[in-house]
Amino acid sequence: MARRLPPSLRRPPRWVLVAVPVTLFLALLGLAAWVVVLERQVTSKWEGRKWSLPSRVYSDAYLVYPGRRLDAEDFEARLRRLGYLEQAGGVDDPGEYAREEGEWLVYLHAFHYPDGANPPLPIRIRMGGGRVSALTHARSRESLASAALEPEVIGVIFDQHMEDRTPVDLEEIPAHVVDAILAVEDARFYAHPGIDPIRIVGAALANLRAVQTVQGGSTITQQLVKNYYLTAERTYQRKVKEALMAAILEFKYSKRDILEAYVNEIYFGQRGASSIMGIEEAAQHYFGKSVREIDLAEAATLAGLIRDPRRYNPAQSPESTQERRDLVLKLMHDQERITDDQYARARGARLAVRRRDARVNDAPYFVDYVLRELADRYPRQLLQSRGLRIFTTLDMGEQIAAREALTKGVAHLEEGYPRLAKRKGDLEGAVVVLDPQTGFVRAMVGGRDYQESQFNRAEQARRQPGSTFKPFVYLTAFLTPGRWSPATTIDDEPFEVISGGQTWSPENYDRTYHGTVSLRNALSQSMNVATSRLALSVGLDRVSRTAKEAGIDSRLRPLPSLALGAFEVTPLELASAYATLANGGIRTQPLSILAAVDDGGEVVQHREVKMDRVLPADAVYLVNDMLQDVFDSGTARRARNLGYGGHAAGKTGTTNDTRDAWFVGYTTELVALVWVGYDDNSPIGLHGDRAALPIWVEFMKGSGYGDRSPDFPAPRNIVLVEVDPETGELATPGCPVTRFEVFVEGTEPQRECSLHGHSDDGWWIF
Amino acid sequence: MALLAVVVACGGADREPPRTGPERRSAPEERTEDGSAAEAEAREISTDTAIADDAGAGTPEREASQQVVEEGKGYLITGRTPEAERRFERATRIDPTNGFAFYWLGRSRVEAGDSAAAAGVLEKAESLLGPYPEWRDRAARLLASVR
Repeated sequence: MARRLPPSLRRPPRWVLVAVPVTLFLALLGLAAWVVVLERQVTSKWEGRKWSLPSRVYSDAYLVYPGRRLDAEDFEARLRRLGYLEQAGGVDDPGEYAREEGEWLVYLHAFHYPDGANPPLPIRIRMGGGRVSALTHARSRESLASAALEPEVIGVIFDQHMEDRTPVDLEEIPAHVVDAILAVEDARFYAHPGIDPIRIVGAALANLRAVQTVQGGSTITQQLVKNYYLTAERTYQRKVKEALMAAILEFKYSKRDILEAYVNEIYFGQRGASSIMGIEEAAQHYFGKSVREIDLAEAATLAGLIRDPRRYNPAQSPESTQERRDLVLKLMHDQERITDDQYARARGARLAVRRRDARVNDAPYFVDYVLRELADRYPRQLLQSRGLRIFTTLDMGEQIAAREALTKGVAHLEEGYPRLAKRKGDLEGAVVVLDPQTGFVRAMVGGRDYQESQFNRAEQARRQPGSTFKPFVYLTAFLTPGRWSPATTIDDEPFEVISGGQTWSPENYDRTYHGTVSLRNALSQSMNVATSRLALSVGLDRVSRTAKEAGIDSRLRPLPSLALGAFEVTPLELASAYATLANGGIRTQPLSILAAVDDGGEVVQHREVKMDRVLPADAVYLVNDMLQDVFDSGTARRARNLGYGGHAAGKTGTTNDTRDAWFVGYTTELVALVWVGYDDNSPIGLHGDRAALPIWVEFMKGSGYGDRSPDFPAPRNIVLVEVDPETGELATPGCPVTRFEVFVEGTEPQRECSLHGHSDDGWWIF
Repeated sequence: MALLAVVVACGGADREPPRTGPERRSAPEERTEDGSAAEAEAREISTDTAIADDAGAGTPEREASQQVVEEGKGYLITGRTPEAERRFERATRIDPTNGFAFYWLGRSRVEAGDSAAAAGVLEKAESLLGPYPEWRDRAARLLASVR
């Protein structure tokens, strides 16, 4: 007799038999759909541009060559900013330097310039009399023509994530760096399919034993998925998603590609507000050199950081860092990735962190200027993501000197003059430094505090140049052969002229007038009346044309007040016009960008030095010679008391009611312009020699130009002739005062001094 | 290119500053397949001007600048004009009074087909090469050709 089975052993209801497989099927279908979705997510992000890379702006390289003046303090500061570490005795690795008796040893970093890669290079710089007397290869002793200390990063253009990253190919990373990472993060990387059950079980047991989380079970692939694709949330769903995506990644891509992405993706800590991402950026940050140059101990240090960059930050907790480094080395040794000898030597290595003393905030106005120059082709959004390297003309040493001279100088003025202190913080200034030979913008300071005001007064402010315009009046006169020379006399007595239906009458600033004066005196003493008379005599149109040819692009109206600088220019264009004087009449276009290189190493923009002869060398030489008097007997003679001992030409400038104070000083090597004033045009109550000149002197001293004496090369048709300064005629024994004056050959005076008698033989000296 | 080859092979005709001595005749300005014009050009160094006229001659900066000029010529001979130009630019920065550096910079720009940019540089070369009349004339001729 058949017995009825108890309910628990009966066959499940029919609907259950249908529902379970259907549910399973649907679940599998859902899983498959999810996998497809995840696969698309993985692929789409992987196949395109992997990272948004910030662009970097670099200074110019610092050239070292025999004969170069080299200030020890400045040079060492440059080395430190670049992360070089001082060693005693000698240099063994890139990024090290040593000072010995009368010489420097520097092991230059490798650097990829726009025109190619420079390998690491050990150099010996022998010094003598403050100059480089010999430059040799430190090992082979072979003499070198020149070497370049690599450019400094002066600005980084981030997107909102502020991730600083320099991707490198896996093949460029030394094997011991990869081994260190694998040893501590995923020893079975090459053996698992993205998820490692053995590692998960091992980690679980270790955590159970320790009653806390001491070991993670994630593979490198899972870590990459978590960092690259997912968020840091800790949910089971996220863990499942991570595992699935890891498996997909391993299925679709090679171990090599995954490892390369990992080492470039991983987080290595913070540098201010920005994150240090990837092994190359970490090597640069912590050791001041490329990952290509990292040794075993350093590699273990970096690998140890990955677990917890804050906890193992070598700058903050060196003991923890060293412990962690030694653990990584032990793992490498246990896994037979390094030999006993390598292990022993690396464990014994001193933990030498070489953080760069990078000063990325020293040239913010210049970086803005560069970005504006690039804006047409590379808008900011593009620069934030395309990883361009922009090489500029800035000299970091001169920039720091200019910034410090301006900020201290303006603050000093506020301390020294109570009326300025009433508006404390409002007094502004700007400095522009150009290399007249090339047009390179060597330094640019657009204000005293970039945080307070980003308005770049060096480039964007339009101000009246005042007396700094006068040299172009005299230059115009000298363009007329035979009519005018520095010895020619002119009246410095009040006069009136009708212009535009109005009477215009210039005055000297102290309202004293000097009668008949030489052009030399009129310029060096900055006489308004004599200069205005000269401008009217040579023609205002011609003066305007001369200034434009020299480099002033702003509109210049041919009004009588033109001679006294009563129109507006930017400091940069005024400096550029003076650079034409410094360069003997050859105009160079201001140049701030040398090249831009994309993240693939291709030069996408190259700008070259452009120059044109716009003015004759002889006429320019006469002006340069006259403007040297400004320092010795003219309106800038205070420069000597302030400690400037070099030979330079220059001109002070002050505008109506002292709204602007200027000084432009130059040699054949540089033009430095200083402007001081209020943004709202309020009077500052100080002239150029009081407000701007001291800043110029501080800059010259701070940048190592304080005692240089380069001569302006005289064209071959310049002659020196002894004259009587009162008449400008040939000197005679009866002349109480004589001086040697410069003339363009053929324009020198022929008559002997009519005031102090004649002699039988005038004397000419060529 | 053959022209350049011989100039470089001659060790850089402009490396040594001119010495006093009898004036040599200049060879005709013709390019030939066998480079004889280049040899002539290489010999085309003035020898009748005192060194003292050139303030930069003999200084360490000039020596260093000239070495860099030679490196640039090495690039120029192999057709690597951009690299050559960078070297010549560096040479002008090391010694801004070195007219030869400006001459070769101008010449590399001519080679690169950038006559507009070459002109100003050749003007500068011309102004600095006063003590070396033959080279000054050469700069002037090149300048005239690009205009």
